[in-house]
Amino acid sequence: MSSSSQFKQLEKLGNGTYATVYKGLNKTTGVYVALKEVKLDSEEGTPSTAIREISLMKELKHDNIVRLYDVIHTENKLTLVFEYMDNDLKKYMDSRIVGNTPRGLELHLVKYFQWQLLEGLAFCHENKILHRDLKPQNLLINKKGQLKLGDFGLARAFGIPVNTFSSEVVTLWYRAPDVLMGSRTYSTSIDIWSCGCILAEMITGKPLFLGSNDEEQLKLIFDTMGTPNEATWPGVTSLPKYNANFQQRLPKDLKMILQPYCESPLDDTVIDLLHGLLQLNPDMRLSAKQALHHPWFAEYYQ
Amino acid sequence: MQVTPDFQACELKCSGPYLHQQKQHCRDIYQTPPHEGLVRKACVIKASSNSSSALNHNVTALVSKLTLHPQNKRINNSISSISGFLVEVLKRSKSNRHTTSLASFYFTRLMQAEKFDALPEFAQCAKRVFLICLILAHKFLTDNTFSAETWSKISGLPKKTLSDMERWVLKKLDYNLFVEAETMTKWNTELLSQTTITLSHGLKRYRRDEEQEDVNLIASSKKVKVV
Repeated sequence: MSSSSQFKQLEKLGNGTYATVYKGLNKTTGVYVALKEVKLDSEEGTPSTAIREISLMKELKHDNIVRLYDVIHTENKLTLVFEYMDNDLKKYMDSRIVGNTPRGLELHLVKYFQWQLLEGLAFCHENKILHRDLKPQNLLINKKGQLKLGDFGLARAFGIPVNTFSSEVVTLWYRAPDVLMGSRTYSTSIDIWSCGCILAEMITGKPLFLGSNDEEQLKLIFDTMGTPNEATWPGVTSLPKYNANFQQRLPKDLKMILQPYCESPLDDTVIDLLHGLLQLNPDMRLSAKQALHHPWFAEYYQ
Repeated sequence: MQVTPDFQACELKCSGPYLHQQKQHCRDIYQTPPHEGLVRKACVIKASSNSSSALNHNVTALVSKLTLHPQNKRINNSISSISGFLVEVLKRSKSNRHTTSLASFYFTRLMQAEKFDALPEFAQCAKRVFLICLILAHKFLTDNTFSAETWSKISGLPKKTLSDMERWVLKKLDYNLFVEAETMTKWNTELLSQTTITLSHGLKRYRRDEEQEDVNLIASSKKVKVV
């Protein structure tokens, strides 16, 4: 157990879902760390977000998941000491915007990042943990090109029977259609949808479905992926927020949509992977393990 | 671990024999369960076929077994003393059996990790520690958990006390709230299969405790009259 005096607090790195993150220096070892600080009210108890983040991240020791080194817990402040990462994927993509035009990442980098994202996620899912808030801000990267999953504030275990799931999870743009329609029985597929959105965003440099509320988000998804029905997605009409008056749309060609924003030609395998991740029906989505075996990643596993 | 005066001040309130004293000068709005009327009723434990009450019984027996200590005279961790509290707290917090079972798992892990004598006094009180384990199980399992205010109403303990104890328990458990599915399944089986063994064992002790409790009650009611 460390004490806070062991770390020198440096510049602020950002705000998490429930905390402020600073860069810190371990004075004993000279190693940089990320200090995630949660202000505590002495009467309010420890927030469940922090409790879950700590207990889950302690379990997850993997190259593609940010390592939690230590916890400093006092009456007024809870500090989580994390492995330091240079940047996050959102800031990195933002730094590439020229004027007002977003620029996607080079395809070989997209592939390397997506591979690491799926590796980290597969490890979470193997350990029966859902992340539930995958988005570029929560994917941390460093100068070596490593990508690691961070911010497990919304994560939860699903191995032991859990009480009702909340549908208020995942930042809107990365939220799966089943969750948007009020499903509470989601599982690992919720994270896979987010992975699909992130893959498209890395290719084009801009979010795939930029909705400003639940209804618009669903509309944008259906505009591109087609409107689901009982034939394409058995059970969809029984979801709490299913609306029989959804505008009927046919699926569009993803390649046509993405190619204008990508400098190099997109091959069909990456589009096929995208389709596997962005299946409207959660039961049809690939698992993280399956996605890692997709031909697009052939160069990594052969 | 330092014990704040607060812990000690509240200590007596949640121990069975002191309930009557508590009523005398109760400054808190909310009373530590079991409250009047429930005390007698709640002490009657039946091994019914209902699995939730069987679970509650086994959890009570286990919690008592782990904390009943001959040298511990100030705190009553007998089945009869804690059963009413546990049942009432579980009911008020609408805990389902997964939550109850996980809480008992945390409780067992905590009590087995430390020598009982080495625990600070507040942590020797089975009711308090179980309550905190229950709060943590709720926080771990449920997306929308109760506020500190609600837990304070449920338990009758001040928010600050709950918060301090929670921090202590978290550190003792080393924040390891994640339990693998297989471990949990095994734990549930053990917990439910305990019925026959612990039940008979526990009941014998329970009868003895009840006699003891009656003596205490008479003693305290006498005291009340004197005052």
